Amino acid sequence: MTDREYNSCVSDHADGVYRFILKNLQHVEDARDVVQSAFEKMWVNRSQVNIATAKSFLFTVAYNQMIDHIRKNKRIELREHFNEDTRIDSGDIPSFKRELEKALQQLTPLQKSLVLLKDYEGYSYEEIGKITALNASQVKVYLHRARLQLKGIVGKLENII
Amino acid sequence: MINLSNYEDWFLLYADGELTVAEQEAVLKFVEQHPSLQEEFDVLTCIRFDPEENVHLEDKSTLSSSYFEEIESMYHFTPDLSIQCPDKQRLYKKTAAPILPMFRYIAIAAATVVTAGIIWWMNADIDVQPSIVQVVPKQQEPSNSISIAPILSLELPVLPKANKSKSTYTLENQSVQSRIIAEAQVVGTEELTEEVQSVVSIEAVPVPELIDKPSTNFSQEALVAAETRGMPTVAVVAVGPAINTSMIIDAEMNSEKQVLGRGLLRKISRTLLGEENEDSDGRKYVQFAVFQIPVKQ
Repeated sequence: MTDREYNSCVSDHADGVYRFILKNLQHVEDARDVVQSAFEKMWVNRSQVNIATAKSFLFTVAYNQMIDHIRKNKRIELREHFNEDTRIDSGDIPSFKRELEKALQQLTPLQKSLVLLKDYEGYSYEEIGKITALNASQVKVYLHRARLQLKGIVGKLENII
Repeated sequence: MINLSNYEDWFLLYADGELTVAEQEAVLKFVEQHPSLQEEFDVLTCIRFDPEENVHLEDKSTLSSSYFEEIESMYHFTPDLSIQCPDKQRLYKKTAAPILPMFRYIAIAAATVVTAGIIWWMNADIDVQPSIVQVVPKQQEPSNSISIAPILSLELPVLPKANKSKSTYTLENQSVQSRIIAEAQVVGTEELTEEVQSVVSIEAVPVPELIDKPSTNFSQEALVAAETRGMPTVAVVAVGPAINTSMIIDAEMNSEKQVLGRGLLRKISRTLLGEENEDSDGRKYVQFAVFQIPVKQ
């Protein structure tokens, strides 16, 4: 990967990776740190990364960084001390969307990642499996469980609409 | 095929977009045929998370290649090769040169052989009974015949020249008469000495031909040297083979002056063998190898 290709990757995929991480972590600075680490890793390994697989590489690295971050925060329990201003602002979104976001936060990190990778990026089961180190069948099963869990949280269609 | 037992999986696959167009039409047709499942189908398909286009990463400058290149150049240090360790010599580990194992074995073997040789030599010198080889002067009965040759044919010839300073055996550069008398003094008694003196005086008559030369181990060169030294013929005739042998010994030893290291060998033999030993009977003997030769008191 040349420097130009790398920069094009930054332009094309930085926002997508950032949204994916921000949606999972619900913290702006943490999401920025994870994205920064992901792109730094791709820069170090740019000689081995193909432009065609750069997006998958970025999401894979970002996902692993995010999981590490979540485990670390679970261990040291710092989340409760974070300033509320750094949290994601969801003030103007519709009510059904807000309910859906709340339901999403009740999922496990893996379930959230599966749902977001499927809905945000439109990855197939195989591609999601490569990012999350699962096979396609596992992705399918976990993703369906996550959606049924969301359905149970949201309830009836009237609550969503 | 979709049915009432597996419709939920088909609805989820439809929501995930994993169905083909034909399968999607089959699912929609199944929902039309079962209106009670329409609400569940709508809920599952509505639970989707669309990307929030308004969410952007504000500052992407820290992700660009120029940023990482700047970081790499900033934290890349080149070593200053002019700086060297001041006491590097003190850090070297010096090990002793290895000793060859074979050299050690060879040294031990050589030392063993030399020690065994010295012990064998000393034992050989001790084990031999002097009485067996001791040369006892033979008491000759008085006779008119001149037969001192057996007496003088003792081991006198084998006496080394080095002993001449401490004994009366060798009388170099003297006349044959005095030699014979001296040798008789060494071997015999006063009577024998007188007899020898008388015999020598009688032997004034020259003999036209030499006696047969004794067969000795001396070299031909020594024999010739003895003859050329101007030894009187009468002496040779008078004393027979013994006198002749003594002369040859002298000549032999004179000829050995050419041998390198002869003095050193003589000194070693003198040290190891000794020159004069006093026996239990009070007589002095010269020890030469396994022989003891009595000397004049």
